[in-house]
Amino acid sequence: MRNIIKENCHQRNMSKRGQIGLFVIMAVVILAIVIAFLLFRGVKLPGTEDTATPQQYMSSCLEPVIEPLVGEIAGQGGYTEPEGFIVYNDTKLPYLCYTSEYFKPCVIQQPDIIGNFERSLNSALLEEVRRCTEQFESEFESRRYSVSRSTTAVNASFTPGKIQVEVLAPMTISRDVSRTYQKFDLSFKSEYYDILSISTSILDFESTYGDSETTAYMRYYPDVKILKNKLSDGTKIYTVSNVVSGEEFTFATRSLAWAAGYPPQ
Amino acid sequence: MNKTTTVFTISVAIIIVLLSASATAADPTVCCEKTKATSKQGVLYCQNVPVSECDASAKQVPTACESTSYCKPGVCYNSREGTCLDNTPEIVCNANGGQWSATFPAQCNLGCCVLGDQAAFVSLVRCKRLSSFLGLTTNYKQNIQNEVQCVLEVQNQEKGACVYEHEFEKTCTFTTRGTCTSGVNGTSIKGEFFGGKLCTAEEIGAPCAPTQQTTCVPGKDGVYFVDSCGNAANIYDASKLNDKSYWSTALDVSESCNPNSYNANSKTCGNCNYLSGSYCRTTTRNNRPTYGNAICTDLNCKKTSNGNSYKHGESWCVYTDAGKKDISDNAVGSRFYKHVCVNGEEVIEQCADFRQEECIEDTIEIPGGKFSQAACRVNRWQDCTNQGEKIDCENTERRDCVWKEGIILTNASSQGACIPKNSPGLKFWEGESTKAICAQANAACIVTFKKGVFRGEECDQNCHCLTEGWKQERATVCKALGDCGPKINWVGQEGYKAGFKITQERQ
Repeated sequence: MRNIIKENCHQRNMSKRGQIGLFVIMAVVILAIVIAFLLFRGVKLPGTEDTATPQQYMSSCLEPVIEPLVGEIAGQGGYTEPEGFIVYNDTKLPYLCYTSEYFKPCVIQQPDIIGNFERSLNSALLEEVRRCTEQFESEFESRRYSVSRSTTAVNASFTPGKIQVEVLAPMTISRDVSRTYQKFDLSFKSEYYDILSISTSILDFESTYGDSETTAYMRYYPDVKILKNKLSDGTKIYTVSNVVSGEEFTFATRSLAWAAGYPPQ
Repeated sequence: MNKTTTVFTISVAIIIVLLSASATAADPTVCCEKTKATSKQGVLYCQNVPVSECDASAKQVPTACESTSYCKPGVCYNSREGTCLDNTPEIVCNANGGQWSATFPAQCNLGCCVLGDQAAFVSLVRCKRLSSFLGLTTNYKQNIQNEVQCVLEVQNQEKGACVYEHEFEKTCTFTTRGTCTSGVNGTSIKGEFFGGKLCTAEEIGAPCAPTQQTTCVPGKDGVYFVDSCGNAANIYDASKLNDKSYWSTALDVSESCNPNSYNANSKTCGNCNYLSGSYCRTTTRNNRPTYGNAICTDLNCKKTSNGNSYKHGESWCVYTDAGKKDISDNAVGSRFYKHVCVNGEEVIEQCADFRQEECIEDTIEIPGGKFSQAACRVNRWQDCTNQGEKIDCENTERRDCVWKEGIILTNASSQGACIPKNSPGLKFWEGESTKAICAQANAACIVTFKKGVFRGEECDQNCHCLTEGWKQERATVCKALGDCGPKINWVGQEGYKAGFKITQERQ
């Protein structure tokens, strides 16, 4: 009986010690969280007096540049430097479908409009992302933190209603404690996915039938407006836009062109 | 009576000034894998071009691209998006991460993709992609082989309140029976389904309550009330905000406020009708509804350029350039235009230049009026002058020509002339082809004169060729053939020369 009580006392002592250990661990964790919070809360948002987390910092740094950058690329059919193009209003517009002949449907020149736009955006964004990470680094270093970074990469993708930007910027920030970030997932509101999908469908009609019926698209998609400008040489300039967001995508095609006068023999 | 005959030949010829007629040396056409980079066009792939335009390092064979192995058009399959594009060369497809095949691959076969209460007739991979975007489990029906059947498949789905537990809390979503019983929001969580009920119905015991908020629902026309769980309820009706029964059972649009009106800009009723010209949109500050911030926006076009009003989606033909259409008297540089009413805006779309396309329009009867539809269609003028019979000339299934009785073209032997209804535009400033087309209007008329003993010469035969009317008639034929003769341009200006010449010879 005594042995049993002893055993119970021993167990109770053990349990007490375990509890104390647990409290110590919890205290350390809480302290680490508090230090981490104090350490990382005070990053100034670019252009404001507000403070933000690194995620918010990257987002606010890229937000002002992403819209004009996407708009600029969209104004050139998803290219920063089009390969085959027509110069229209001093802008190089890519031929996404083209034939040099008359009376023939065009041959596709860009079958992956969305993927190509994403690739163009990635290369254009990389410079901006580097600028943001450098700003981020100097902001921390000015506060006597040490920041170690490795190569920066960016992966933008279009999805319905948004542009998702994955900034791969592995970095470790340390002073008393260290914290490592691998990537930042950012999201920006955009209707480009639908615009580019409709543009792909227009290309399908152009390459199959030689023309597209824009009125049908506009009746089917209430927010979409399509302008088709037919030039004298048979080139068509398409501008597909969303009337609510105001986003536009412009490209050229030349398909089933009609020669003036009698068909050449 | 001594009688002598004098013959005059009067001929009308068209003056054509040819600015450039330089003949080019023979430059054989090749199927060029990649054209030479130029500042005007850059680089293009798989084009049938003269050999001088082809990049020297690119593959090139003097045959059509369809017959080559390297530029043969095929189907490019995009495995990420699940889309297929026809008429794509292999080199272009592969360079952009696609999978090329000469024939239609099995991956491009279409089926019915059910996306909640919506449907899309797409490939299986496309269906998976769309389902993942919407957080739904893929529901693909390969056996449905046409789009109409696919749409009908989802229209018959029963909808209602789906009550389920999420993170130890009861909640509710308004969805289809299938989604509720198979897994809510793409998860494996199954809920209890109440057909025809809203999540705010008291009897189902869901924690959702009515709110004053409204929203636009993708795929639907109207403005909808939103409950406290974020579900769209019935159509916004300001008078029903506190009506418990209105927040209990799901109602059809025909049972909602003002079903016979399109309710554009109504502050109290959100029963928009897209076909009649209204659609749910977030409001501007100066046009707010009684509750919420969504309203039925008016998409119709009031007082367009021709003075008429049109519904959203209506299109109509416009020909405002100088000259006249459909009577073979089109002006140089004129063209047809199609106008479209889109979101309250009049959008202009040109038909092909040189009047190679003309605009056609028609109206259909719809509930509440007429609906105008226009299209640019090929101007089939090319074989008009070859027709010798009126019936062939006016065969509208084959060509767009008009028959002119009593007029003779140069090479025709019939009693009339078949000319284009809308004369084509020509590149009269280059090449020789314009000369050949316009020359069809050349005519020689032999007028015979009689010389009397006591009188002078007197016209005997073909005297009409000496009249002003005959000159006008020949000018009309001339103008009808294309940009020939005494034409005006699209802003109404006459040319610097007469456009035709009359010569007289005495034999």
